[in-house]
This record gives sequence, C-alpha cells and structure tokens, in this order.
Amino acid sequence: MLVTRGALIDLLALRRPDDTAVETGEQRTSYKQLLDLTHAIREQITRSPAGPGPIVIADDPGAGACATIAAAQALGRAYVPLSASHPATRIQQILAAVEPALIVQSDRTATRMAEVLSGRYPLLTISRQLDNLSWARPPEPVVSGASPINSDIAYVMFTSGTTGRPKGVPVRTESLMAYLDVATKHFGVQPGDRASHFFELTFDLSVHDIFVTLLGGGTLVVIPAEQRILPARFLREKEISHWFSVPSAAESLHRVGALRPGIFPHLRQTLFCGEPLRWPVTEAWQTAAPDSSIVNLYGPTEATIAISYYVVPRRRSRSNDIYGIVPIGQVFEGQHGRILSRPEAGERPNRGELWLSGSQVISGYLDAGDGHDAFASGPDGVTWYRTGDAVERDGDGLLHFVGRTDHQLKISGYRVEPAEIEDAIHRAFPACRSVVVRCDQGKRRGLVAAIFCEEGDGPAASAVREACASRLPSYMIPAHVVELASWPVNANGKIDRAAVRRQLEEHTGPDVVAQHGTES
Amino acid sequence: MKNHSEHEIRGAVRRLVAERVDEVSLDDSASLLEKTSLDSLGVVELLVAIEEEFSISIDVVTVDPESLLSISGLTRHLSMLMDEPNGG
Repeated sequence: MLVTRGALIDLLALRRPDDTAVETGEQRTSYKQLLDLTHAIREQITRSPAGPGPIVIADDPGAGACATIAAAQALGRAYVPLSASHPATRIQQILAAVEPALIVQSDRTATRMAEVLSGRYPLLTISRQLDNLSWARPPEPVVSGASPINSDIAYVMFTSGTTGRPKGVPVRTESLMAYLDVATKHFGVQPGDRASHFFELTFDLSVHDIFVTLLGGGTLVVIPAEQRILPARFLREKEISHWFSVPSAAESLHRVGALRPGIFPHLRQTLFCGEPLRWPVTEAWQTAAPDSSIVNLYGPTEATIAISYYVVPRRRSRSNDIYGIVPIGQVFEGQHGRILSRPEAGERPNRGELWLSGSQVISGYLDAGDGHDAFASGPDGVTWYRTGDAVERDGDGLLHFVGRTDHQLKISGYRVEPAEIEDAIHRAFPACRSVVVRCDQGKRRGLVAAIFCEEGDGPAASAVREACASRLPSYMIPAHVVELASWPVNANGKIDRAAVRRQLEEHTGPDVVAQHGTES
Repeated sequence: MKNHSEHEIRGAVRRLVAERVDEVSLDDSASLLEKTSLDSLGVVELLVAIEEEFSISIDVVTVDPESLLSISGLTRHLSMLMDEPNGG
C-alpha cells in the first residue's frame, strides 16, 4: 500500500460515507462528517493569516482531534499534541519549543487553555457537537516567531528528558509512512472492525490508533479516561475487535482476576507495546480472548511508534521465555538493529545495547542539545540511535528486552527520566537531595521519591508531590515520598540507586525516616 | 463475610485507602485517581486488598470501573454485593 502525505484525507473520502469513523461514548461521527470537519478546519487555517508553523492540538482523543490531524497532514504541517491537564509550565515549555502557527482546542479544554495561555497564539475552538468552528483568538497578520519544525515533520512528541524539561521528538513524514506501510500490512483494520483508541494523543502509540484504523476504514472507539485502568467492561460492551494498549492494562485485569476464559469473544487482534510483556499475563489474555492474535510490539518514540514485533505463538517454549518476558522479536523489514556489546564488561556478543537505524529513526531531537549521546556513527558512516535498552538475541534470532543501560523508568508505558523529577524537587527544595526509583515489591509500589536533607526536617510528602505537580504530568508524580536518614553512595561516591530501591522495597515502616545502612 | 453495616464498610474502605495515601483528609466522593497519590497500580492493589478484607470478589467485567474509584462508590458497591443472597 502506497501512502503519501495528505493521503489520509483522500482515503477518508473513499470510505463508505455513512460508516462510523469515530465513536466517543454515544457520539458517532461518520466518515462523511469527519471528512467535512477536516475540510472545514483546513479551510479556516488556509483562509487565516496564521503563520506556517505546526498545529498544536489541545484536545482529548476523538473525532475533533482526528480531523485536526488529517487537516494538518493535508496542509503539510506537523501536529503537536498537548494535554490540557498537564501543568501550565510544561504546556508553555512545549509551545515555546515548537512556535506553533495556531492551537486547536475543543469546548472541553477551552477553559483550561485560557488559564495557561498568555495570549500569543491563535486559538481555534471545535464545538462539542463538532458542528461549529470559532476563533477564540483570531490570527493576526503579525506572525509568531519562526518555528524550528521543518516541513518534512509529521508530528512532534514530547517525552521525559534528563535535563529537567521535556524532550521534543520530531518524526518525519517519511518515517510515519514507513511505519504505516508495515502496520497496515501486518496489523491492519478493515471496514466493520472496531478498534480501540486507548492512547492519549501525547503518547505516540495514539498515532497508530488513529492512522491505522482510519486508513483501513474501521471504527475508532475512544475509551473514556476512567475506564482505561480496568478496560474489561469497555472491551465487552463496545465489542472491540482490535485492541492496542500498554501491557499494564492487561496486568491490572489479570491482578483482579478478570481475565476469565472467553470473556472477550469479539477480540481478533491484540497489540501490546510500551513496556515488558510478561508471559503469565499474555497466557491469561489468550484464554480470555481465544480468537485473538497477540503481537508484542517494541519501539522508542525516536523510531516511530514501533520497530520490532513478535507474534505470540499459542504455546510458550523454553526458547521464547527468557526471564518470563515475551520477546520483542524481529526488527521490521527495511529497518536495522544491531547489538552493541561490551566484551570488556563481560558481555557476550549476543547481549548489549540495541542500536537502531533506518527510515523510521529520527534524524535528531528538536533541541540538538538533547541528543549529544543518543546518536552514534557506525563504522559504515550510518547514524544509529542508541536506545538505551539492553537486549539479548536468542538462538532463533529473536530479540529479548532485558533492561536499561541507564536510569530511565517506565510507568504505564510512559518514559520517565528520574532526573527530570529530581530536578523538579530540587527547584522547590534546594537544600535537599532526592533520588527517584520505581519499586515493584513491598509496601510502596510505583514511583518513590527518597529525600535527604542535611539540616532540619525534610519537606512534607504532600509538599514534594505538589512541587512535582506544578511542573510534571501526573504519571511523573511520585506515589510515595520517603525521607532518608543518610545519602547512599557506592564505592565511586555516586548515588546507589539499586541500593535505595532495595531498601525501599524492604522497608515497611513509616514514610518519614528510612533507616539507611550506607554501603561504601 | 456478611452482615456488615454500610457504616462498617465505609470505615473499612476509608482505613484501607488511608493506609495507602499521603492525604490527611479525603472527601468520600472524590476520585481516588485524581485527588490522591494513588496511581492506577495503587487503585488495583486497593481493590485486591478490599477483596481480601471482605472475602468477596469485585467483578470488573460487569461493574463500571468509575464506580470503584471513590470511597462512596466502593462502599455502595460492596454493600450491594454483600446484600446479595450469594454475595461473597
């Protein structure tokens, strides 16, 4: 299938006009309505004096966002999603980084956006019923600053950065098309299929939800935010045939015993991506959805949605089960992966950091300063993206994720750099040091911030969480805050994160002071 | 376990929530996900703890998950479960 830029809008026109394109609760938007809305948005932008930069989408998932994305594609503009629920500081950082031509919002997000915006960018509002477009702030002939986003960029996603601010990942149209070529071929959707729209727009896996479903002519069924945590009822009631989520959603259903045999009879395809997928959960999911294929996808945002896949066989074998985790499989056809092992560190040649190259891999970060050690030149002169993911290649050539080479964490599939949270805490409490880890055992699970203050009492847990909430999205706010009696360092004088995590997982006492046996 | 009054159920739910969050006081109708330090993992663990406490099983396949996301909602649902002849 040949997909070109702007093709989404053409393909929308080819669909059966009365088929439902997007379903949000009781609201159904047909392909014809979606196409009309796309044209209307495009016309508003074309007729306005708004500058040439990217289009920011400050809306929840739904038909309005889909139409805005299709309009941006047709106009040859990048789109940049923002979450209105993120702190004002973060929203302003992102806007300053991309210098948008305009922002598209909805009735639902308008009040919040009015609070955080400083009156600089044109603002187009889509009404709740999708029948009206109005300028909340009309564009003026004086254009905003020149955008750093080149015209070959399809979208920009922001992920957690180690420098204390979000890191912009600009994905080229060429990369998106390469991904869609593989995805529509192997994991495509047909008219009549009902595909989940699980991911928020700020998570790049939402690009798959929207493009693959609408290109295929299926119905995109938006999951309400409050159902995302335990989506069993949504899956059944909405008769979802194509499901795509982070493994956490399946983990949660498995934990509460909901994955009973045959409860998802309509499901024919399940994709997981974003986190390690455990075998026991996968097997329970297969029992719950006996007619569904299950595919484990892997890929950093820098490699466009996903770049490797593994089709889960009906039976687990010793070869595909290393550490109880489902393989991430093989790199997509046309893309390249290599393993950089460090023999001097005792690593075998089949184990090391995964490096990626090919048309799906970005050329660099929005801020060149973010990429200083993420890209490397190979002996062949090719630029490789260093994923920071440690992998192992088994005898069948399948890749297995085995951990990280740095401190990056995953929370429900979201990348979290502890340094960004530690920076937010340090800004509010300059006299204290902190270390943020993820605990998987013991009394405190999830993100835990351990604080150490040389003098006086440490800040209250609620104050630490508030400091984080003022700069970071909710998934980066520590679930627990613990005060350390001493600052744990290793033999090199560096913070010993593993020791902190172990102690937090073992420590069952109050959150105020953790007894700390510092090792040296 | 049966014959819990709604008052007892609410007290037990409040206690199980309080053991898991930083917040000093919490409105019973507030969303646990939005108004407390609980994340989705924390909510799932809370549900498992509630099931163990009352020796019952909450069926998330039939229950609207939203009704499990506040102390009031949980209390209502548990009271209903325990009123059923074979509840628990």
